[in-house]
Amino acid sequence: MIGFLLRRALWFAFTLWAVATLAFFLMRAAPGGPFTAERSVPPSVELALRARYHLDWPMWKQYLSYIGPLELGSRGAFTGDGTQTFGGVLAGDFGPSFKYRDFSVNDVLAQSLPVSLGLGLTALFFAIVIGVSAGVLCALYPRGKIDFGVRLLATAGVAIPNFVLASMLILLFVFLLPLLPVAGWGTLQHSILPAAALGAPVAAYIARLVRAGLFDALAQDYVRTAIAKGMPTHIVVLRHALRAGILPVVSYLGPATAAILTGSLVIEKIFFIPGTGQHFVNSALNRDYTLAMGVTILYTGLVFFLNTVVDVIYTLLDPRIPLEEA
Amino acid sequence: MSAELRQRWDLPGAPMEAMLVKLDRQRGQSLWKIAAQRLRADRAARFSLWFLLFLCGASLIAPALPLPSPIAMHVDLEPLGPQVSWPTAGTRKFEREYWRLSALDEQLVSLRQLAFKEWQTGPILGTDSKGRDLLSRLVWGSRTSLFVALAAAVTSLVIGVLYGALAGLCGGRIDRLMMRVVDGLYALPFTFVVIFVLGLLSTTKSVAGISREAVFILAIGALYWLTMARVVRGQVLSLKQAEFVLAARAQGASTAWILFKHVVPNVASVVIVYLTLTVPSVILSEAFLSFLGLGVEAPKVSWGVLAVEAIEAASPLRVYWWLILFPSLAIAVVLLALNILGDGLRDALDPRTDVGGVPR
Repeated sequence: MIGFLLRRALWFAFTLWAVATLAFFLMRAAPGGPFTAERSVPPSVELALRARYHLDWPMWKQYLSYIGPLELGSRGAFTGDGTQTFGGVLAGDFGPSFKYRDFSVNDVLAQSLPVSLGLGLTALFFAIVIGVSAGVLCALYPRGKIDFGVRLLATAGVAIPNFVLASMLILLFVFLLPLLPVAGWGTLQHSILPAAALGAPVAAYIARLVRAGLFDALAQDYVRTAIAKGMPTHIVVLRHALRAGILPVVSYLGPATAAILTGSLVIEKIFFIPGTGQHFVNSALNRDYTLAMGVTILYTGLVFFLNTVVDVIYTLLDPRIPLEEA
Repeated sequence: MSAELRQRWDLPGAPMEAMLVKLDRQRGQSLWKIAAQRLRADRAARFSLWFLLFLCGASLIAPALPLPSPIAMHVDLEPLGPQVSWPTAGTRKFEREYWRLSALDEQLVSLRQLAFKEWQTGPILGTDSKGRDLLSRLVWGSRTSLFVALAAAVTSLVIGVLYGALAGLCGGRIDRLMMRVVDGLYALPFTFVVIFVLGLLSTTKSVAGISREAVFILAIGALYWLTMARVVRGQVLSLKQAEFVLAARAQGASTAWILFKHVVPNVASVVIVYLTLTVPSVILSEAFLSFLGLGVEAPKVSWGVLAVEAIEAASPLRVYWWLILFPSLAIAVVLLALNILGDGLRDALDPRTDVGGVPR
């Protein structure tokens, strides 16, 4: 277990480094810079701006100063007015944002990340509760109307993209039946529609997994024994079968979190939610070098970390499965 | 001995002939024939297949259909709802306004002008906030969406099959190394990298001589080749040790014969199934990226572009429900059909399902 975690940690560090390096040089290689879009900037001002953010440095120097807390210039790396020093990514400092002049990337992320995480967790919770209960219902009443209905909904749920679902939900619950607010963030009502739209495809997939897992488990000998002892069906399903049937769901939680994080880019745009997703797309468009890198590194790290957590939980739940090398 | 029995036991009699003929027929039952039979028995999959073929046909000949121009704007008018009195001849005359079309499409448009003159359909599905015809935009958008999906799926197919087959054929240490790389890439959230790259490129026309649309297709294709590589590698590995391959080799079959007669057909079935299941994911990705503004460029339309336009046009004061409903419906129905067809194909091509029987 410790060996596995160590290997994962090494791989994690390597992945983050690779992504950061790739992103850094891709950004610099892409045409246009953070200050070329502004029309009214005279050349002298642009030069000053570039000097302020050390964009006039040679590439290797910029790269080193971005990665580590190295003393490379008289004013320190990336610092604008000399009051703050920029520590570099290794020190957990993503530097000043190029577009939001008075904010550091860390400030921007600290403001928006809780919103995105809140939305994502709500959606994940919604998806697990709905998905698992739907799957269990199928197993309790196999090949009945409920089973058929759940399978139909699950197929549809996997096929319908979440932004389509979001627009349908808006049509239904905002315009036809004015129950919920269309956009914004802050109250419980605000989070219902986005969380539902974000979680629905995941819920559909989980329902399919649970159904298949339970049907598999119900054919096992120990379940037959439990039934032969005269145990009521619902107890057999909930106590014996569910324990094995839920395992595929646990291993799916890694991809599920990635799907929810990706989906939230779109959902945040539709519902005007001030999360990290908007920065992800806009910063790359705006050539806000530091912010774009920060968000990319953050999301990559988040997905990788959650995948590892899921792998560990999986082995804890089912000791028969060895931890795979990553 | 009765006549009937004598007939049954007589060797040169008719029944034996019939049996031989029957045997002869049975020998022709290849995997593909069985699969086609099973697919024909699967009503949902068959229906999906016809629907998808119809859609592809319609989007192919779209320039020759009597549709209004997909980009001719009439901003003076409020968006019109769907006009149910069908067939409606448009009150407007046809305007020949498109983005840069290929030579073949130009020919088709000319053909359309010859056949239908100035006549065009009315706003059957309504018009959008700039007065453009929604039906026309949907049909033209399907061209983009389906083309990008197919091209990206084929890209992932080529990369995945080459990589997986190479790993499977080499085996041993090379195989282990190649698969370790795939495992490592799995842990990487590729979508974010692709969004990042497309965001960087969104203002540029071409990269190193490759147009932005091609980069877009390559980027989406790169998202999906990992699973394909794994699937193909596993199949090739198990085929290398399969008994029928050994038998063929023992009978003196050449490597080329074994490759094309035994390995390729067996890998092909898996690849086709996976391809059918990849196309919907790719359509989804295309719509998703277009939605974020990273997809096709402005005058061109795709279904993702239509979906985002609809949401941008929605306001609490006026609801243009048709703008949201019809593109969403188009995406959902096509994805559903592709998923059903993929599931059906998987069942039909699965050699473990009972031969001759209807699967499941």
